Amino acid sequence: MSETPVLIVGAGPTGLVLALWLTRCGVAVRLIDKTVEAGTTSRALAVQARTLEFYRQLGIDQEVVAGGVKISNLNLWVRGRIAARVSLEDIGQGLSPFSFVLVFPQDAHERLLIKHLVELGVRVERQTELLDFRSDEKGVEARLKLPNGSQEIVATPFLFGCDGASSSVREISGIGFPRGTYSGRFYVADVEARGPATDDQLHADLEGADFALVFPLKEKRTHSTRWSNRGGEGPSADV
Amino acid sequence: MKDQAVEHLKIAVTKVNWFSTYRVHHRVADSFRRGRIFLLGDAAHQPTPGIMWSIKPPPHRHEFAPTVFRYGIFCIGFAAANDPLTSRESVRLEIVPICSRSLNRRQSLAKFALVRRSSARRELDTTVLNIELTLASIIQGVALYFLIDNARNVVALRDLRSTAYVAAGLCVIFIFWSRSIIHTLTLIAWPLEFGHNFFYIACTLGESVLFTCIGRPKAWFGLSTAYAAVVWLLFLYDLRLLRTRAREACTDAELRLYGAATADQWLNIRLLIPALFAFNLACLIAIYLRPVLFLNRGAHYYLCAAQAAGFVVYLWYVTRFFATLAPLIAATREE
Repeated sequence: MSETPVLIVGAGPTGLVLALWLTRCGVAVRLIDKTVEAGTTSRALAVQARTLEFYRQLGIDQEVVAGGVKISNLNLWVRGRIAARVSLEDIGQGLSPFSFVLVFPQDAHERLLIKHLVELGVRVERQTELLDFRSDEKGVEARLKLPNGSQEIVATPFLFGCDGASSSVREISGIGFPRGTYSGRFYVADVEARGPATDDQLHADLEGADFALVFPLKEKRTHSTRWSNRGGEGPSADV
Repeated sequence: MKDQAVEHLKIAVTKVNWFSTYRVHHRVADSFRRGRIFLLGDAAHQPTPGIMWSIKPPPHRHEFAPTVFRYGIFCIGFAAANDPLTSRESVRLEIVPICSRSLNRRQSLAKFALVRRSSARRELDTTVLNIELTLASIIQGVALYFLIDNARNVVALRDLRSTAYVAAGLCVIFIFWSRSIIHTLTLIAWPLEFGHNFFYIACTLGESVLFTCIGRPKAWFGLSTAYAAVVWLLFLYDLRLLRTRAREACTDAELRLYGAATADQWLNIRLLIPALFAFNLACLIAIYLRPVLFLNRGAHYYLCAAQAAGFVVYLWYVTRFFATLAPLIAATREE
């Protein structure tokens, strides 16, 4: 049985930032993730000013800003024409040093966080899965499945579930996750494209209950588009 | 990519590197902590399509870990503008777009994005609200003048039995005034509804004419019947306004408020006002069929007392209804 001061399950942005922060505070962590490698797609791509302010405390803010695209305008399209343009360049001027909207795709974001963790000597333990755990007032004993198929028992005072919507930490703890999923479907794609909406601005088309958004990405002049079909009928299920 | 919304952006896609679909979630874990186990990020809280994410400061000082939450597409401006303050205001603004029940109501996302009402709009709402509240009180004051004018004879002639009519008339004023105040507090906002107001003023005219019929049973119950019919139409007309408000509703409090108001509206339309109409019509028919009993022997006073008793019960219902609405109204104003 091994011991660690903190066990973090899930190496998405949440787990990575938590690991980075705790490591900076001098708390040793183990960070496990069941996937083979980090994500390779844009997914969550807008970064808020508040996040950057926290990153400034970690000293990684400039790198994130340099890696992303500052959105100067939000263009609202209606019936094939730009109906309104909202300037986002200084949207929070006087309120934050990061008074803009930044697009920094999640894959690049995760890579950057991993790089900083590696610099601090923390490695994401890939293909490592949390099987179950027992906990009492004194601590937690977690059973992990390692890449070679063997199992390991880890004793830790604190277990953090950063393992996303279908969190196994949450399920094993028996913590409910109420409310529901709406029937409206969203689509997301990373594309290379041409056209007036493929500049370095944010474009949104609003058609009744439908909408489409185009975000500029830095790499290879690609864009991320997100759009939805008709708004749904309400939660398809509760819990 | 055949959707209209995408076509209208005139994008010519040359290469797709990644494509995926997802559904909108609105989920929050029952607890973010159980003993030594903590939930963070999507594991704890999944409000909207994950497009942006931000680190939130811990809500309580004793929770030492930074909490990572995701936020949706429509937080962009609000979040960036307000986040550094981490005030209650900023939290509220970020939560606004999360109420995906608006989506569920097939609401236009354009409206969805503009959910945060501007201060100019709020000022207009307040102005309209004040106009309506003043109007409601003034015109019921005018109706009261008519009632007093006619009640004077009752007092002068020491006609004790006619006080049943005066009591019923007073109840009508109470009911009309309280209902219109509730209606105004619940529904009235910019733009001003002329149709509703004109209808409303006409109703007061009918009410005033009714008060001139104290002690004249045929006219009293005839007018009461007609009056119930007009009030029924007014309720029906106001359904339109109620629907508009319910469509614009975004916060939970608003949805519950309009839900309660709609339920009450339908109760009035389906049961209460038809019952009032039927009672008055029945009285009128009875008076015509048995003039000796009801007119000569004065049994019409009992009919009128019954009417007044019915009004008192209705008034009790109205105050109960307002008691359930009051916290919801307060909650919607706090948004």
